[in-house]
Amino acid sequence: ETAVAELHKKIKEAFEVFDHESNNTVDVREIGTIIRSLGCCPSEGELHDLIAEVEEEEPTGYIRLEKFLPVMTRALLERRYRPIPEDVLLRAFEVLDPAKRGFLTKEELVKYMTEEGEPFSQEEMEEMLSAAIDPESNSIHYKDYITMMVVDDN
Amino acid sequence: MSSLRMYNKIWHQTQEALNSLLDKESQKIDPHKSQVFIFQMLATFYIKYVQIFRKLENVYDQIVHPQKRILIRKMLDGVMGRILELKNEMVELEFTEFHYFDDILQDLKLAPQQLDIPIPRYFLKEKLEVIKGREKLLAQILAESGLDTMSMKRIVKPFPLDEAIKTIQISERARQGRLRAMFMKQIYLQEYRVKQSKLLSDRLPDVAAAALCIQKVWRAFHQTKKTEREREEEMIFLGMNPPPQFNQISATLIQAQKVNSVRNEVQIKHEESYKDAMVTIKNDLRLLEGPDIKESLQDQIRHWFIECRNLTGAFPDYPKVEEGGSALIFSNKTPQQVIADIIASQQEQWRRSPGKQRTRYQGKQRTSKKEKGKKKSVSFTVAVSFAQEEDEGWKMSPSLFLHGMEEGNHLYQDIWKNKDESWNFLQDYDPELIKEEKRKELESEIRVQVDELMRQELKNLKLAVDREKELPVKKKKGKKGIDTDTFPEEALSHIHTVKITLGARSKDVSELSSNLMSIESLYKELVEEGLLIQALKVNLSDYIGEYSYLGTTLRQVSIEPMPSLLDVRQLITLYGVLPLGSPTVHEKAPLVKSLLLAGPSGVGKKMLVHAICTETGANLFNLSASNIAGKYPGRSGLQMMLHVVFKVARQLQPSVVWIGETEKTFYKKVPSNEKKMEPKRLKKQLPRILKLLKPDDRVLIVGTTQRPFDAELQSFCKVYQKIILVPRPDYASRYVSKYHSILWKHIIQRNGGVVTNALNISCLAKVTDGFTQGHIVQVVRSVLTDRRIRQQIHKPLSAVEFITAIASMDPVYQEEEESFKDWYAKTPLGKKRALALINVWMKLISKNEVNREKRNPRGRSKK
Repeated sequence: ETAVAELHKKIKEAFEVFDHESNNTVDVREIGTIIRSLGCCPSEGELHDLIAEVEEEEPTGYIRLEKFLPVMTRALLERRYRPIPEDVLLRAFEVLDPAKRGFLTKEELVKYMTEEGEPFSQEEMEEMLSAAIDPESNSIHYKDYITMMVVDDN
Repeated sequence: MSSLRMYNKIWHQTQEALNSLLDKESQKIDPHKSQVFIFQMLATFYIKYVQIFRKLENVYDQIVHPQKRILIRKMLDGVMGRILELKNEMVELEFTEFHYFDDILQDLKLAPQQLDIPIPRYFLKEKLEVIKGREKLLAQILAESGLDTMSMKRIVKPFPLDEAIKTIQISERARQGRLRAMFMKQIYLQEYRVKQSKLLSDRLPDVAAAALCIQKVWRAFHQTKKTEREREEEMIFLGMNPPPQFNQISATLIQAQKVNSVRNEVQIKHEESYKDAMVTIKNDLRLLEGPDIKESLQDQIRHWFIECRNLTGAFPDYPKVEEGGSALIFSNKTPQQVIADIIASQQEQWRRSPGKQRTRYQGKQRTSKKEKGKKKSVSFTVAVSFAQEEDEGWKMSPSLFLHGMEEGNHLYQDIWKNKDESWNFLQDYDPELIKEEKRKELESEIRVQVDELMRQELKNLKLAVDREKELPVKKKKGKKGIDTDTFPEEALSHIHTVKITLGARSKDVSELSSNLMSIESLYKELVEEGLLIQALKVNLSDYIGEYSYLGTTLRQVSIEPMPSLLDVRQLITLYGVLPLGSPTVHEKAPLVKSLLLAGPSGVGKKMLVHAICTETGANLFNLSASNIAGKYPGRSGLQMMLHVVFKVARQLQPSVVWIGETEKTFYKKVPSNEKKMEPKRLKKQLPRILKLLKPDDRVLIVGTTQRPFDAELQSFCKVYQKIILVPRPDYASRYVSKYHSILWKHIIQRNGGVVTNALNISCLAKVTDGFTQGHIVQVVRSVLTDRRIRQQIHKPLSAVEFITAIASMDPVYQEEEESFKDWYAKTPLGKKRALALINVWMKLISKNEVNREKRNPRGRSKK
């Protein structure tokens, strides 16, 4: 019971940040940010599914808290969208770096991230590059970068 | 360096104690005393020897005098062996591997901790380089064959590219999302604050109120801090919390450790200078005293010739080299005596050297005695059943170590006890002793030369005086003997790893070198096949536990207590570590070739195996059914594999051959899903191998099993000489919580965790009763990731983290433990014990009845 109450509080707090009009609604494009700020790591596909669930029958472009709160609480209780642990991430990077050099070049990273999987938008790619690329070598030392990608507990 | 004197003093004291103990041992015991009495006596000896052992070990580690060390080492090995022998006696007396000494400890005023058998530090110290070299080799082979990385990769499932990319994208999007949310939140909060301050600023600013507010908060803060501190002090004062420096190692301790290591360096230096001195002093002696010795020897022998001729009318025959040359004639005798001997023997038997016969005869007598002794002990162990014992009375089987220890003791009494060492402040070697020793050596060397000369002279004399023809003396044989003695030794110093086997069976040098070559390659092959594995670095002392304080009491009311963890640890030390570490002990002490550790999963059986290896620097071979499945197929393949394994194990001893899940090797019925593995492949071969292991092969077979009930009891128990039940960590409920908290603390700290007040260990301990060490380790490892360890500074560990993790595991239930006990009762030793117990009961009952009848001849009495 208390756990649920606490989750509600957390979700509300995260929601309020984006509720610019203070009328318990947020822009649908912010939903991803809210979910992620709660320590979840959904894929784009999963995100779409979730949004579809909380949207009004006739999409207004806004999501209401009453709809969002129960769905999100359930997701958190079921521990959906668990963060990806450090070692799995490391292995993922190592797959992209079969020679085990310990880094990826900027070009390699851009190619993989924008052409495969759920491709990054240009904006997303730029933000990643700005955080990940070591300007001197123009490459990403993924071992260091992983620590930034992992979710801190709480 | 006054502590040098202290260690000397300890040594002297220990020797005195040993002396009186040996005295007591030599006293005759009445064989018809009761079993309890005999056990008490054995146990007292045992405990006293353990005390001496502990002291000697310490002294040996720290004394720097090289010659003293030689003697101490001898004594140390002797005491170790004697301890094992006594243990064996006790096992045979009580038919159980576990003995409880609580009452004796009380009598002797010793703490249970003092019963702990230390592992001599010289085991590792003296082999440090060999072990390091081997470890390096092993790591290298593993790296070359890519086995270590391969095995890791094999565990993880393949990771396709697109999934990898998706994973990264998810994480990266999450990161960006979090970042943005944080950013937005800051903006939001800022706006919120602006709004709030706007609301506030509407009110009139009141300086006094503001000041009051700050004061209020500060006072509260200050007071809480103060109270907290006072409370902490109070707790320390009451003894509820440890004082702050409690866990810090004091400077004096650190200093002492430093001194210890310095002393170890001095030890090595002294050892070297001692070795140098052995050579130089000998050379000096040769130069200074050699000619004198030679002359006096020659004079002596000439004198003998002439005397002989005067008395018997003929020159004597010169003793042959194999018989010791002229030394034979003069050993501890004046020439006159020798001549008298000769005359006497001449009268009985012509042309026989008297000394030879005597020595031979004596030798024979001794060996036959020994044989007899052995036979006796064997027949004793085999034939004695409980009933028989009563008739025959109890006898201590003969010891192979007492003699050596007595010798050492005499040596000590003669040389060291009253030695004036005021000149030798640094405790370097004593040149006089070396001289004495070397003088003898030199004499015998010179004697060989002199013999050669004198033989010639005698021949000439005979030619000249008697015109007798002398048979040519064979000397080839003797020379060869010397050669084979010295030559391999040279080779040995290069390759110490194979020292013992080589020394024991000096073979042709060429064959040896080819052997060595192949050993290297065999070693490599075994590593690559995964049969020879790297032992984990765990010390036996990491297997922590508490003593069973109630053992004797429980047994008196005939409840068989579950062995305590420390009892198990001791047995491992006794049966595993000590014999593997010391060749002398292994050769002479009651031989244990195989050991079975049985217990529920996760109680630390495998850890114990690794600990044995770590403590002795042994190789670890893995012959578990699952590990050898599919390797070296077929009957000949199997034989070949075993041959190779045991060859390498023997040559690079000490070695441990581990058979995990060993019940599979002895399955009553092979489960259908494991048929492919052919788990029973080893079964027929094992007894044969055990027979082949000789006392000088320091190889121990260790089996571990979780389900001994699945194995065929008979063949199983035949292969495993000693069976040790490894209990789960609660044995006496009173100590559960204490034990567990120690365990938790230890394991958390080992894995890099910091135990703070925020972590309620005793709560953890209570909750996790029934879980094994393995469970706890697993949980701690899963919680304490690198990341979590780094976070500790901000966020101390809490009990909840561990409890959620452990909740998903199954504890060991009482029933499972009982099933192990039941099984153990069916093993030979268990059966004997049960029988003995029944007998004791019967006796008690009948005695009671007799007493009752005496007291109350009419029969029934009130209760």
